Amino acid sequence: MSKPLILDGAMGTMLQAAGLRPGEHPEVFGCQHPDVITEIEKKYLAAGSDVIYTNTFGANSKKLQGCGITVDEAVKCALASAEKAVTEHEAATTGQPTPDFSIFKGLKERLSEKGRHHAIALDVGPIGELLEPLGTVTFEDAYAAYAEEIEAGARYGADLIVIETFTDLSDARAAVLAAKEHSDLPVAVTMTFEESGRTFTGTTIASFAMAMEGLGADAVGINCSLGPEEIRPLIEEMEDWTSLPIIVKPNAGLPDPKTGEYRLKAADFAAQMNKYSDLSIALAGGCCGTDPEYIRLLSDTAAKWADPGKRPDRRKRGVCSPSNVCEFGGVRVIGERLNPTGKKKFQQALLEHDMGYICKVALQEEEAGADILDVNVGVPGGDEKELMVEVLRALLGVISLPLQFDSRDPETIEAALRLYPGRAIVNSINADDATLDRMLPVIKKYGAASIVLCLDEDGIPTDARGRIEKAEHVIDRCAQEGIGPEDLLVDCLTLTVSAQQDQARETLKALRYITEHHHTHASLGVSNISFGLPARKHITESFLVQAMACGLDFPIINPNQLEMMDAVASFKVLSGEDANCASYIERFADRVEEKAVEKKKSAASGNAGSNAGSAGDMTIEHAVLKGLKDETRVLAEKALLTMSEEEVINKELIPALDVVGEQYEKGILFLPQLISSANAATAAFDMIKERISARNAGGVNISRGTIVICTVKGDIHDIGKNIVKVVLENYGYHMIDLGKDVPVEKVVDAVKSSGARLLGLSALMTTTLPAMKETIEAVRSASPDTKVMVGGAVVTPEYAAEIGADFYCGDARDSVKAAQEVLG
Amino acid sequence: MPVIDVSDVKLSDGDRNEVLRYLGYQGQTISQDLMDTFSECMESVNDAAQPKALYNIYDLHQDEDHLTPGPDRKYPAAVFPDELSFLSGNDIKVHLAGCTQAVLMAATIGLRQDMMTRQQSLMDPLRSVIIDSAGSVLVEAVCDTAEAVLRSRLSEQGLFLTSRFSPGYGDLPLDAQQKFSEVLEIRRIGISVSADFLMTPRKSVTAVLGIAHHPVKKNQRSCDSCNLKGACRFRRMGFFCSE
Repeated sequence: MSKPLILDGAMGTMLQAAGLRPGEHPEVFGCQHPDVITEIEKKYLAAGSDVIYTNTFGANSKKLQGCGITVDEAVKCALASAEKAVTEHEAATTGQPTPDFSIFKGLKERLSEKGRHHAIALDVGPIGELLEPLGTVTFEDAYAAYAEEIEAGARYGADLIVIETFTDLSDARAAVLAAKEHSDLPVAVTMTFEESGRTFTGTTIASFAMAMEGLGADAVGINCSLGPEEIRPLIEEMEDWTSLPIIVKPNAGLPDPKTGEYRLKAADFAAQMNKYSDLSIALAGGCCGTDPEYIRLLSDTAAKWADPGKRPDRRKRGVCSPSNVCEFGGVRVIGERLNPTGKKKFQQALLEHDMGYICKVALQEEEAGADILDVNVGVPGGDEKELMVEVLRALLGVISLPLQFDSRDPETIEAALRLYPGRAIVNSINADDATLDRMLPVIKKYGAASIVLCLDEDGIPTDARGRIEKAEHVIDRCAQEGIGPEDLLVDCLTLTVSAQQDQARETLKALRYITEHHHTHASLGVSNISFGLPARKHITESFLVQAMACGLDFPIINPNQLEMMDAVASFKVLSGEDANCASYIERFADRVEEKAVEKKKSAASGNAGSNAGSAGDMTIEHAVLKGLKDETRVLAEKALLTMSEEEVINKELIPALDVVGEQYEKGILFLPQLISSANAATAAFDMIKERISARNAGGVNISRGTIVICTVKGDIHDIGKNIVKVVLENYGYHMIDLGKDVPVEKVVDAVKSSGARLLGLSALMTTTLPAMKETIEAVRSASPDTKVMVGGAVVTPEYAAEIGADFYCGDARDSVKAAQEVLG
Repeated sequence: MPVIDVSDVKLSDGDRNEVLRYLGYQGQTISQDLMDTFSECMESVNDAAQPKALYNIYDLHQDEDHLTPGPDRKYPAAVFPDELSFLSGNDIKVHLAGCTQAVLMAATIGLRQDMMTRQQSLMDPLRSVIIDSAGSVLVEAVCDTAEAVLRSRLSEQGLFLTSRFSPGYGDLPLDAQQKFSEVLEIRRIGISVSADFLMTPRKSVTAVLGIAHHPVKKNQRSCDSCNLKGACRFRRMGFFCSE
């Protein structure tokens, strides 16, 4: 291919000129006036378009709902118009050379079969609603809508599929997967970026490019939102992250803020576009505000551009979430805390679907400086695949770090990769051929990176040589599948040094060999080295440093351990990765100060003769009322010298919370103060819970009963529900929080499996009140003894009674009364 | 669609009272710690915010044969062009009584606010409620700014602007949000509407304003015609949203 293919210009702008009214569906208009569409497309063909887009931007079931035509009709009609445009244009202009369509596999053959030399692209625009976690549409629903449109496009003769104007990576992935799985047509994808280099939903250029190349798109690029000049730097960045052919389809400049009219005239547009001449653009066209004249001038200019077939592959590698890119090259910490192994609380959270707890662990890792988070949900009694999807959906709402999916079950891995809007790491594959046969096609399909364990079905080789052989076997097998070594993280396996002392050396030897002889990366689960030894952190830290020196660049560690992260920071200085030691200095600058403060603090409290700081003569009630966390905890600790845990809770904390509740009712305290009091009490409760579990005294149970709580299906408001949860927790109730937008069945399951005698439901919108009623009815028939309390802005006492709730709660205080009545 | 540059709109110290009011504050004594938390939360909201606003102006026709009671006297009823036919109900007609044009506007502070609220609701519920309220105050401030810009531009032409009226107010149903979003193309500033008529980003506002050749009395919102009358948190606390 020696010059870019020319796309068309705006359809919407042309339709408006032809009489389309604002808010009217272009597809409906197109079905009513098919010849208008044909005429517009003919003008673009005459102007030099090699590819025209069909009038199907909004031809999906979501957008066409209630407007009188089906997806099938809209697509059929649009393709007929386009077909007619090409036929008539080509009949009138015989002898034109066929453009070079070689970037799209099979397109040339497809066109020659049809006897034409212009391509018709099925235009697929977004469904218009946001997917979870930003909105409420599920990935599967979006996928189904795109699949319907794409199947129709393939049926009625589209030559390729263009997916354009997307702002959400998850949405774009749904469309691309639908295109790959419901047609054999080439797929081009463009998203819409702001000048900041992000889409409205925060997707970065690198994330988009990486995710799309991973999914096997045939071309990627940018359309709409900006003019050629503003898009150019964004395209340059995109070229850093993909080897795919690049598309650029800008607007006619930025709109005039006062009129909304696009500012570039055709000649100015072409002049700005001409500045792309050195970039090896493969497809160029216009978006909003452009017309055939823009395309004619563009077509003339683009004929002299750089040969897009000769763009060198200089792409960087990495993994990403939609909003966060972790570039490979240097040490990247993989956080290991999202794992139930040996962690009772985490296991319980998984079994009770307490996604809040799991997200909290993840947020702590992110705050501690992890670059990637490993996610493992394997717990006896849990459905691993379902849990992985559930945890992943929850994490996507709060975590921006790229993820690594950790499971031995191929179906679990596949489900996670399918849903994940980015590029993930698979943990793990190994040299067992049966595993490779199953996993490599999946990894290839979703374009993931992988951790490679140096073992096979016969176990772990005991020497470095054996492990190297296993790794090389996997590297070879991956190469055959088209998976390059730069996407593999070889794990030479950490064994416990107290049990097999000679193995630490073998691990490091293999590690050094692999990283010196292959273009792979290396990962290692570091912590295991010190198992069974006292003062583990010294061994773990020392091993981590030695391993990094041997080439380990993806240590899997606990990022909350300061020493480990310090070691990584130090290593980055010595390896030269931390240029000018900037990050190191920043990291420790605060630390020095902190120490000075600590010294001062301890001197001060030394004078006071107590480590309670300013607590002095304060009572627990006073500390809780004032919302003083540390003081409440310290005072509770003090009280425990003379009282049992139960006494401290029942005689100190609960009465204090009662006072808080009363003062809140009377308006002496307002909401933020109620919450800070609850937070203060939580600090004491957590301390007491820890003491009990440390003593492992199973006999003492401080839970006053279990309550299931959630925001009902369709509703995503959860602030009020969260306040109620915190307050009730403080009264010693075990809260199972199912989150927001919770389907009826899930509530029923949770109530049944936990045996909860009280259920709390929240709804904030009139439109979701019916879901509240439905949930109550289902719970009533499944668990007649469970009482139900309801609340939320739109719920009234009358409505609560009408839908059969046992309690109406106007605020968190009411919920405490309800709980006390039901559970004591 | 025309846009208004609102990117510099931030919460200032003076907005703290408004944030407090959203949380039901009625003069309780507040500790310095809590005050500091308010300041920090408002700063985070400012840092995360990406305010945007757009609008479009539509001509209205006057039906001289039918008079509608306006805020001060009767006016010829406003007749909407086809594209605004989704503006149903009587209240919007009263709101636009005597107006020759209607402005549709939309404003948002962006998605980062939503992510931050979700994160804080797990890590620190106190901060999450403050951030949520501060976000509401900021998006109102963005609307106020956009409205003020329009008002001053119009006054140069001797024209007057009514207050804002949003889908869900009075008898203008919330489901008008769907058509509203299509006609004004609010996706261009990153707002989308769900099947339940919820907007994402959460802190987004759509509103209709009228343009008139004569001064318009500020339309005091009335509880009587409000959808949320039965469950309003302001009323429950004994004050009003329009104060």
